Amino acid sequence: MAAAETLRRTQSARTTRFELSEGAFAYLLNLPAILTVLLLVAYPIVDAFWLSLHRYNLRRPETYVFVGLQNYVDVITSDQFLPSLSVTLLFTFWSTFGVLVLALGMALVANERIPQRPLLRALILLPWAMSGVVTALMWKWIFNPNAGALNGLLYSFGLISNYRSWLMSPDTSYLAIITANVWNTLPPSALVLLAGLQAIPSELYDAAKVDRASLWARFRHVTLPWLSQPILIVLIIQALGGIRIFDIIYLLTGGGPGYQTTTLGFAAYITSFVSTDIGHGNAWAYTVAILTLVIAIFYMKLLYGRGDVRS
Amino acid sequence: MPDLSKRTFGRRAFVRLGVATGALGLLAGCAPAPPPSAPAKPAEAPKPTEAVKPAGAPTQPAPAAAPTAASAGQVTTLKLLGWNYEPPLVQENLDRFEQQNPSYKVEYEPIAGDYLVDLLTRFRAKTPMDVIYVRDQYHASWVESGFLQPLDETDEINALYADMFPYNAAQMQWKGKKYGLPYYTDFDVFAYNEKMVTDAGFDKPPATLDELRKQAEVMKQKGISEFPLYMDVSKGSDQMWDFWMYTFASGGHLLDQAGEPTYPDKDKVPLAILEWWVAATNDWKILNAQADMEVPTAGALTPLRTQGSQPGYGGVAFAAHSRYDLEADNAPERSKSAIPGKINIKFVLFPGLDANSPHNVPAWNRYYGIPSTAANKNSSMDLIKYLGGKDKSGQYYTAKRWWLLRALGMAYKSPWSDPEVQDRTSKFIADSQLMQKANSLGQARDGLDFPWWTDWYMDLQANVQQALLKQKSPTEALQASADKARALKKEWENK
Repeated sequence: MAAAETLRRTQSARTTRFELSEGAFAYLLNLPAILTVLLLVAYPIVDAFWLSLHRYNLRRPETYVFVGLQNYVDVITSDQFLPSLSVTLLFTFWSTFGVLVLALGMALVANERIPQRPLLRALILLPWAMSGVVTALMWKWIFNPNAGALNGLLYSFGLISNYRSWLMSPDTSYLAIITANVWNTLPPSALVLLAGLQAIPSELYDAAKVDRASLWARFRHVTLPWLSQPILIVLIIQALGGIRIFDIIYLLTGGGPGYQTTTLGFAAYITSFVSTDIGHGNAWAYTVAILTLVIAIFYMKLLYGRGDVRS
Repeated sequence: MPDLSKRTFGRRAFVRLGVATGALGLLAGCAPAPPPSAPAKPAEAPKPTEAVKPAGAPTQPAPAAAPTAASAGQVTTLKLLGWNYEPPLVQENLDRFEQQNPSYKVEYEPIAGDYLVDLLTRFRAKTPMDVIYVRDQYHASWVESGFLQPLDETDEINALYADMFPYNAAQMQWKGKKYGLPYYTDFDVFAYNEKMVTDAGFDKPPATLDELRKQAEVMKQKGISEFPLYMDVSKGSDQMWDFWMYTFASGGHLLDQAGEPTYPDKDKVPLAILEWWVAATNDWKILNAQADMEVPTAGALTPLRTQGSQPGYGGVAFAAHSRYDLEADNAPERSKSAIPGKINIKFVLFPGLDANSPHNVPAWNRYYGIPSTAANKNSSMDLIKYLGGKDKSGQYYTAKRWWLLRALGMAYKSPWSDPEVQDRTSKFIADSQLMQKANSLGQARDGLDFPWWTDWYMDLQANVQQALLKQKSPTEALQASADKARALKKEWENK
């Protein structure tokens, strides 16, 4: 009996000595992922911020001087900042607006019991399957001033007398990049709204019909209130994507003509990778990040303020 | 169902894990070692990816096979980095170097992305490299930053420099020291479609900008081309060379040697050129500037090579570009305006504002340099003497080969008299005397030595575009650009 007790105590001591608490065990399991995130995400973010506080240009790499927030002051007071901010905000607004209206329309159509509904839904998803770069190159060909499909189409209908440059005309360059961006980012938004539509109980529409509500009234008083949260999610995704836009600008207009389509993100790229001014480039990038953060917080407050999502 | 959160990690488990790890390590240690570096086996070089080898390619056979196993233990591996122009041809050149020099093996890494950013990152990380490509616009800042080391000035190097055109020899030096041997060099030419010019009723190409305007307007009236003139007016760190070409051809400059802008007041040429461009776009409508502002799509034919309204016609009749582009311009398989058996795209001394213009053109130089991280300078010297100078048989092998295969210009004088070179040249350049004259008129773009050059240049491009779109007057555009240059200069002087 005593021997058995001794053995039990010994085994207990063996196991207790290395026993982990529930929390510690969870951390242990997550450690690889945490280390990976720290290494690949947190470190570059902190390092980029640290670089943004230094004067550091790869053309004079021996000069590495701590300048505090001077790079941020330089960025905000530069001639390019306000025009770029204006271009970015306008681009974001019109892209978001365009996506919201079109995605809502597409979701409403795809939600109807119509023939070939699966095919329609697949078609809605198609642009999402293409990367931003491929999309931009496709639009570059569509807008080509000498052999573009858009010119060919409009010319064949007699709507234009000559082929023209859509990307480098001051009147149309903006519209062109917004069109390309809307086309590329439409599908996820349409999906979110479609999911929202499918969550609306059909009894509500039945009740509205009994009350002889018109189509518009049903949309206004049933559909829209139920879609408010999905719409907010679409607004967040689109706004944040719009603020950070780079690939479409880079491939379609290069920020031109002049500086007409130079966004904050593109200015950050030019400063970092063409001028190789890493200090100022990171300050530009952090300015974009701060702007994105402010908008994200604003939207989050709207989203969580309702209480629905949290519940 | 086991409660995973209560799972313990006992000593036995720890020991088991340790034993398993140790066993794995042991297994790895006992695994057969990787094979040693391949000896410099002078076996037959890999076949080039090019389907057809031009008749003019150097015919000199490679030297006889060198010993293999004997030298296996003494092979030095060299690392060559360059932008990714024709990697298979570069590799063929390197294969030949290894055949001639069995004690070397060269690892060649073509860089597909942004070469400048890539190299600067490697310099900072002190990545081992033995030989690298250098563009003239990087030369000064890389030397000043200590990224490159000077060549040993042997008699052999001095002899090579003595055989170069002065522009090329000067470009690769800095404060009296020599930093490389040439990869290739070239200059811009003013190309024209001879059939279109003739059909418009002119017996010779334009010599001045007034003549250019006149010929273009006649072509437009006759329906030969809607916009007979093409210019690269797109934005980018290596775009809009046309502004340099037109300015140089009329004897103008943009920056003086101290980096001070000389335009728009002191030197009137840049303003006159921009005013001409604005009028050509908006008044005479011989230039489709908005279309030309778009960065050309990769793989698309240049406007000079696109199909015009008749066989032999291009989309445009006049365009400035690199000399080496003349070869493709006149190759029917690469140009829709080419006429088989005839040189239809020719060039002329660059038209200037008046008849007394000097017709200067921007030229550029690309060379092989030795980075400061090179492990063994002598070995690097051996490689660049082969790539940028002569091979063991005493020939300018690679320079000649690049000209014969891809029309990349040679920085050396003597190979131009080689019959093979002359024969190849005559295939796409009608007047070799004119080419030699144009070669002597090449000059470097202003201010390449300044670290703020790219920032200034891209801002200049934006201002030029705004002038072409009439968002600014030419004077306002150039004044804004000059102010930017001064601000950048001051900013960098304070650093």
